[in-house]
Amino acid sequence: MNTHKTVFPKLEAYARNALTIDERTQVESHLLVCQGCQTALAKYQSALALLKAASAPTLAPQRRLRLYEKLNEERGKKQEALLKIPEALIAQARATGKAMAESAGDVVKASGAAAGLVGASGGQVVKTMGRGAKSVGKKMLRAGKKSANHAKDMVDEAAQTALDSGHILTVETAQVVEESLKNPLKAVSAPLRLAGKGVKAGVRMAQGSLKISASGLKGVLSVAKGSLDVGAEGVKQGGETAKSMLDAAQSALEARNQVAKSLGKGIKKVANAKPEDDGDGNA
Amino acid sequence: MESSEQELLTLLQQNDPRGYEILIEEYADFVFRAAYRVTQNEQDAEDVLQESFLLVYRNAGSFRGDSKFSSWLYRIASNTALDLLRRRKRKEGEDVSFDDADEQDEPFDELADGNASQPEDALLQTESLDLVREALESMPEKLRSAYLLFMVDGLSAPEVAAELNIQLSAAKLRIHRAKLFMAEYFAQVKVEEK
Repeated sequence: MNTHKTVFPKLEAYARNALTIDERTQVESHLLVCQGCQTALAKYQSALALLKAASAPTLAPQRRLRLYEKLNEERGKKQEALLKIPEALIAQARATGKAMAESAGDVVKASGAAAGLVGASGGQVVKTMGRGAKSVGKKMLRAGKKSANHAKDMVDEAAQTALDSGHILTVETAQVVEESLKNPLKAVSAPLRLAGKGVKAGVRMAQGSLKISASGLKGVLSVAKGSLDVGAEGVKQGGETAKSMLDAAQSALEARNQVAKSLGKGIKKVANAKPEDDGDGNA
Repeated sequence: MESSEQELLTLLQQNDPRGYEILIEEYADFVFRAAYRVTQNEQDAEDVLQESFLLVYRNAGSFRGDSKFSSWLYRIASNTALDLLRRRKRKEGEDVSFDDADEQDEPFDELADGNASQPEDALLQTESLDLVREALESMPEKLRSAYLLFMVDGLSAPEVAAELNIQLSAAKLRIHRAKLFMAEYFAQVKVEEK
């Protein structure tokens, strides 16, 4: 019979101490010769220890003491004999309470220092963000002003072009009419000449439009440049803010470590709390 | 019932203070642990501990000795803890049924026999006490009680059934579902870590 095949599935029950005596004996004999089963058992045992630790907090002496007091309170109401609270429990509860109070003081102190550190870092972040916002705002204002100026130039340019073209066309038309009145022969070609003037005026208008477009393009370029400036400033300020936040996070981490260290010390202190000696060698 | 349990019960039924001193020294940790398994909170577990001992003090005469004294005590502690949670949930307007395991719809002949599966396979993958604690806190109470009696206290499935006063099939199913819960919990954590 293959013992390993039989024993291996029983290892977890063995670790839980849930086998019969015969089964335990069988597992233990096999464990002596099987490295694989030894390793697997060690894993099961450490997993179970983890589970046990996670599921079973120990009853602190203070809680046990309060249980005695609670029962005595009930018995006292009925005037029944009270329970005798063990002296060792009272001493242990007192020592643990003292250690807890001291540790709590240390933790409060560490937390205060940590809060100061975190607060200062937070303030720095806020300051940096404020500075960044102000700087980006300035750039935006500048870019906005430039855009407005270019828009105004475009409108002026358009109005001027229309006025010039209209004026020239009116003067030229008047000349053609005047010449037609003076010389009836010229009146024959007047419509043609007027049409030519109209085309010229159109060309002038088109030239004006080109100028307006060029001015618009200039404006667009200026706006784009302004936006780039604003964006670059935003990135720069964002970077500074991020750096400042990283510094703050670093401080918070340090602060947390300080508190954790203090808590760890406190827990050790409470766990190792010993009743004080009464002078006669008795705890 | 064992003779030491019988002696203790006699002292309690006679309302002898020594009986209660023994009760505290020998069973307070056990009751606190049982209460903590339900409440997952040390302060609540202490309240349940005090309430359970007061119940024993008021009702020691009513214990007939049909089951083990420790089983009776365990039931008092877990029922008191469940009452505390129900009261709290009712106050918060939540569902208070605790019917988190439908125990009718799965075959369970192979479950929780100790040999059929390897329950800590999921546990073996972790070394973090905090993670195990979180998993247990997230597990439905019914499953957690059965699982810990089986895994930590080393009770067999029939013993878990007796301790929780439920059918053997229900005990096996709860243990099986608890194992699946742990496996899924750790698998999920692994995925989130990636």
